[in-house]
Formats: sequence, C-alpha cells, structure tokens
Amino acid sequence: MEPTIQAVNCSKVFPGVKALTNVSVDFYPGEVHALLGENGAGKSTLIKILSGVYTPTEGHVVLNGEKVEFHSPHDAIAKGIAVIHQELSIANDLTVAENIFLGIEPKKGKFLDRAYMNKVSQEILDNMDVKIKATTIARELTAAQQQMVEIAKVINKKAKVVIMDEPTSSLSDHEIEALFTQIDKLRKNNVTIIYISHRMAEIFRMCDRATVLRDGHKIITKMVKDTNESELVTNMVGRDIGDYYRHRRHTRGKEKLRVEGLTRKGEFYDISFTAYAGEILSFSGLIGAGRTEVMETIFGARKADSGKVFINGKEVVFKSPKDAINAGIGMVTEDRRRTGLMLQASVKKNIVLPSLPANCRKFGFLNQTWEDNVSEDMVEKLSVKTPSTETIIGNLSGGNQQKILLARWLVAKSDILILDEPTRGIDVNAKSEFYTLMNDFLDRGGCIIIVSSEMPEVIGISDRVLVMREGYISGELTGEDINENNIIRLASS
Amino acid sequence: MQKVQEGQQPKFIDSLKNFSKQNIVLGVLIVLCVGFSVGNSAFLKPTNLINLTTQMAINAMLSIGLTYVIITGGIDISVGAVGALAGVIAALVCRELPNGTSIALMVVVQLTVAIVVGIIFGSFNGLMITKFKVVPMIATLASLNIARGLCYIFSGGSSVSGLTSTYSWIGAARLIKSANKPTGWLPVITIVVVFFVIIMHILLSKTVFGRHVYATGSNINVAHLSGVNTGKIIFLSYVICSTMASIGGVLNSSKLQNGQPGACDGYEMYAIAATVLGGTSLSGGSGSVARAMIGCAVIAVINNGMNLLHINSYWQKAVIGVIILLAVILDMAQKKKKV
Repeated sequence: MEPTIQAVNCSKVFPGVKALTNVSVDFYPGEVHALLGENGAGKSTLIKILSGVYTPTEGHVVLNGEKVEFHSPHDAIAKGIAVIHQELSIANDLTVAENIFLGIEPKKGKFLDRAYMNKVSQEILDNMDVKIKATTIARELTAAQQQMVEIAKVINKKAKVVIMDEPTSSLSDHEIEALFTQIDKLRKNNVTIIYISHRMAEIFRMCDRATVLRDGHKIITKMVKDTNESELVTNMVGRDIGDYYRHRRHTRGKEKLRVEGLTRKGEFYDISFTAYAGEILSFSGLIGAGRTEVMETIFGARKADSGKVFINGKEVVFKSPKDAINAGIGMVTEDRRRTGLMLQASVKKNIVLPSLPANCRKFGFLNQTWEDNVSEDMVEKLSVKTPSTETIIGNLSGGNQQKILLARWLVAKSDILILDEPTRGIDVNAKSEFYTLMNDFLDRGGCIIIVSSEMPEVIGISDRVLVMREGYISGELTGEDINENNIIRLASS
Repeated sequence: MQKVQEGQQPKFIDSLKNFSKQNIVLGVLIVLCVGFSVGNSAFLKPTNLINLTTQMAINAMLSIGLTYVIITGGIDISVGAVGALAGVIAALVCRELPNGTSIALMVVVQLTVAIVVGIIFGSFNGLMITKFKVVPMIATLASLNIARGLCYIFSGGSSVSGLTSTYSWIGAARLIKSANKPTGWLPVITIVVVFFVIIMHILLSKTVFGRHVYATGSNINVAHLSGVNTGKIIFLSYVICSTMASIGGVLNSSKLQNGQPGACDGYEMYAIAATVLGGTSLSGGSGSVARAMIGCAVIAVINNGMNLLHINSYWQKAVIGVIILLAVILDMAQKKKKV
C-alpha cells in the first residue's frame, strides 16, 4: 500500500531557530497516526508544511506518489488536505450548513443554492449520527457540537488527509466517545488521520502508529501496539521522568476556605465544602456540571443567590474579584487565551497586574524597579522559557504561559489558589514542572482547589475529590476511593 | 526546536524591537519635514516651527483625551462638538465679567468652564457606555448632536463676540520679548498644551491608573479578574476625554476671540486620525499620549507644508487621507510579517 502523504527530508529554518531538521514521515490511508512531542518539538511546524501554511526550507511533500508544492493553504485544501485546529474555525453568526459549505458554496445560476446546502449538510450530519440541525446558528452550539461541524466540513470536502490538533481538549468524556466514533468512520473510508495529542490514553486507544518528534528531529515511529506510554514519554523528553504525577501524602493544615449552601439558580445548588492548607482538593465532573461557575462565584466574579463563604474561619462577602484577591484568593481560569492573559502585553505586565495597587509608590506611581525584580525572580524560580520579561506573552508556549499565570498569583501573595483546568493543552514536561510548583506551594502552607476534566490528573494528584453532577455535589472521595469507576459513577446520571 | 541563539536575551533588545516597530510613522514625519523644507526653506525657520505648534494645539488637546478612550477599546466622536460647546459657554460667561478683569481670573474662569463642561459630557458618555451598555460610537454620536445643538441654542445661532482682549490671552498671547519679536515669540497656548501633554502622558504611562487603562483595553475580562474596576476605568477615560476636548475648545475660542457655535466642526476625525497614526490601535490595549503627538505633528506638518508650497487647500484633506492610510498600512505590514 502506498502512503497518502509523506514528508520527505523536511527542514524548516526561521530567523534564529531551526524548527525542523530532516524529518521524514509516511502516513497511510485508513490509519490514525499520532504525532507526539513537547511544545517546540516541531509538530506544529510539520503540520503547517503538510497543510501548505509553510514551505519547507529543505525537502518536500509527496502526495499520492507525486511531489507537490503548496504555495498557500488553499492549494493543500484543494488537494484534499484538511486541518481541524485546536481553536475551531467556526463562524458563529452563520448556520451550520453555511459553515459546512464556507468557501465552496453551491450556486443555482447566480444565486446561493440554500436548499442544496441544507439538504447535503443534514445528510452528512445524519450519517455521522449526530443530532444537529443544519439550519441552527453556530453560536448556539456547544464546543463539542462545533467540533462535529468541523468534521462535517472535512467530510463534505472529501478530504483524504485530516489533521486534528488536540481535538479532545475541550470535550467531556462522552463527547470524546462521539468524536472517536466519527474518527472510526473516517478510518473505514480510508481517510488518513494525523492525530496530535498529549493524552496517552487516547493515543493508545485510537491510534495505529505514533511518531515522536523532539527538538525538530524525528525520534521514532512505531506501531502503537509495539510500544507503551513510558517509552513514548521517554522519547519525547529525552529522559526518564519517573513518577509523573509526583503524588505525595500531603499533610493537612488548618481550614482556609469554607463554603456553605452556595446557590446560583440555573447553575449550581447548595454547594458546601471545606478546603485546607497543604491539600489539593479537586472538583471533577462532566463539562457543564457547574464547577467553573462555582469557582467564579467564590472568586467574586459572579453573585450567589444564597450561601456563605468563610476565609480562615471568618465570613466574607465578595462584591468583585478585587475583594477575593485582597482576601488571598487567586484564580487561574480555564481558558488562558480568552480570560487569563493580556496576549499583546509583556510577560512582566501580565505577572504584576493584580499586585500593582499594593506595590506602588506614593500618589499611585508605578514602581518599575519592583516590577522588574519580581518578574525576573519569578521567571527564574518557575523556570519559564522566555527571552526576557519584556517578551510579548502571546509568543510563549502554552506551558510557559500557564506558569506565568501561576506567577501572577504567587506575586499577589495568594494563599488559596483556584486552578481551572491548569494543565490543559500543555506538554508532558511542562505539566510535570507545574505539578512540582504546586507541591512547593502546598509546602509553604498554601491551599489548592483544582477543577479538572482529565481523569488521570485528578486521580494522580488529588488528596480529596468532590464530584459535581448537574449543579450539585454528588459525592466526595478520598484515598483509595479516588479511582476512575467511582468518579464516573458519581459524575453521570 | 533547536535555538540558534541560546540563553537569555537582554531585556533592552526586546524593548528595542518593540520600539522600532513603531518607528514607521516617526520616519514618515521626518521624511515629510525634509521634503517640505526642500520645497520651501521657510519651513524650517523657527517662526514657522513655532507656528506649527499653535496650529497643532487644538488637535493635540483632543488627541490626548482620545488616546485614553481608544486604549480602553472605545471611541468618542463627540470631542469636536463638546469642545465647541465649551468655547461657546466660556465666551458667554466671560462676556459677563466686569471690564477690568485680570488675565489670571479670566483664565481661571475659562478653565473652570472647560472642566465643568468636560465632566458633564464625559460623565454622560461614561454612564451611557458602562451602565446602559450603549455602544461607544452611538453614545458619543448622541452627545455629539446634543452638544452641537446646545451650541446653537446657547449662542442664539450666531457667533458670541464682543470679548475683551484678556479673553484671547491664553489662546493667542506670546511671551518673552526678543529683539526679533518685540511682541513675544513663545505662545502661551503651546505652553498650556505641552503642560497637559506631559502630565497626561505621565498619568497614562507611570501610574497604576494608567496601567489599568491599558489592561482594560487589552482584555477586559482579564483586567476584571485581576481586580481592576473596569467600569470605573472606562467611565473616567470618557471624563478625561471630554475634559481635554473642552479645554481644547476653550483654547480655540480664545484664539479666535469669539464663541462660534460651528467651531471645531469635523475636528474629531483629525483627532482620531492623529491618535491612530501615532500607533494607538483602534482595538485597544496599546498606544500613548506622546505617540499621538507624533500623529498630530504629521497632520500639522502636511497642512503647514502644503500652505508654504502654495498647494491648493482643497488638496490638503485628500493628501492627509492618503498619508494616514499609507502610514497605517505600512505599520500593519511591519507588524505582521508573513512566513
């Protein structure tokens, strides 16, 4: 069997950086091929060469046995190569059908053939076994449904090569199942799927072969059944990183945060729990269970209808995040690009923002020396890879961005940290470093509350787990009881 | 990824990179100055350069305040009309002052009128935008019309005149007599504008308040979740904007020694153009008062230079339009280099 698409001796050089060195990979029809590697390993560069965004500095791409040269993504799309990015490219104000046919709209004479569009789109969606109406406005769909529309787009374009970049990062477990069903269908139709993910469980479940990149080089390509997680991870980081989750017995300190009967109609009801110093308390549950809403309410960003919050035993009322911050709470949100980072601003400005009023000079003048010192200190302590603290934070990798968000709250001297999906979309090495930083925080007497949809993470690092289901706390798990079965049982109805 | 350059990069190199990206318009300004001085050597004469500063003055005041608003991601198209209204009201009030009124008192009254008008309209804009969630373009369109209407209502439709020469001190007087210029060469208006440029630039760039303005414009959610009172910041930005515009309008009416209901017509467009030319992005989060002044300088230089070259004034508007477009396109192209 001939490969559908091949990268042959591809290298890519940017000013100051060699992103890819002599990489050759073959991708076959009907295979799901995982592409693994840390941030900066070259996965994204390879994908962009295959999809026409970049031209290789050396080497070339072979499609169906013929050498091809893409001058733009349009060329690649025309030849049947489709990419589903991590950030979905759905036009929110158009209907599902309009999105599916975006760029290739069918015409009846001079006019848009809406009837044809709707009919064909609905057929594709029905064949996918997905309950979406083609006439729905895209804005009304959930993230998971929008991803289904992305797949419909790809089917409509009769793509032969589909590249999926972190497709499951915003999906709940049963939505992931639905996605895998679609991938299986594509596979049966001899479509080549290139699957980029950091989630080992998925790779071992869905993929036929896996290629590991590191520092711009191809390290290995293996049949998934001939390898294991440890081997892949070792090849990704170049060394054996041992006990990945670093779970240690944490010693419980005093009560830091107590919530009683917190309710917000339509979002969550009667939430009561206590979080202690020195412990990691995790909130697990399906997407939409209300976890983020609870955290935003505790942080003062939403107003509760009823209930009480206590910090260090004293009742508090937070009218805005400013009050929560002053009381010692810091929150890292679940979507760092949308609600966490000022993307166009420097690393330094992102770190110091909440701490400015407490560290300024007389009359509200900024203390630039303090800003410089504290941000450089943090970059060093947290091993953040950045050319300087003046670098625009949008240019850093996801893992480093997440570390800066942590730095923000360490500088603000928070002793209660709420981390919403703290390791989403960051690579193995950065994750490991992040967990170490969390442990250091706990050692200094801090308290951590995590919201996470990643089962292995929840099981690996939590001291206690609270499971939420449709707005209520359905159960609490400690010690040996923290396992996949119990969590799933409590999370689903 | 293999880095060809390893290790930490000195901070100043990164700052330099960021700075040079904003050099384009400064470069345009320099090219224009060189070009015009070649066309007419009178351009670079001190007299002309000083005249340039007085020609820039009103636009500069409007741009100072607009910079704050645009950085927060908003817009204020009422600045021209509010300025004109402040001028009309200042003229009406000052006309009632007794004949022997000192310059000092006159100036105090003029500035007080400006500040009061500025606070009223700025608060109106701020309230509409933050509390009632009216889109800035529409809210300030409303206040533009209200202010302009009031200009005609208060003035009775005609220019408010009959003002004493003390009224025109702040807008037209010159200090420091010299041999060449027995009536003085240093315009008071220039001193006033430079004063405001300096303090408003420092407020924006060196204080917590200023940092919060940038944060609000950069990402309002992030700012809110970091403890910034974004509603207050936006409200105050519009108050600052209208106040600077009002002071500009009063300076203008002082310069002309009357209060015209039709004054500053269309000035908002030049002010927005100057601010954007200077590098303030309309999507918010970046820009500075100092850079807005470069934008003002470009526009003033074009007008001044074209006058000296005796180019028909009808061409000036079109030329300014083209220069603005070119400068912004070059700037954008520089920022987003295709790989």
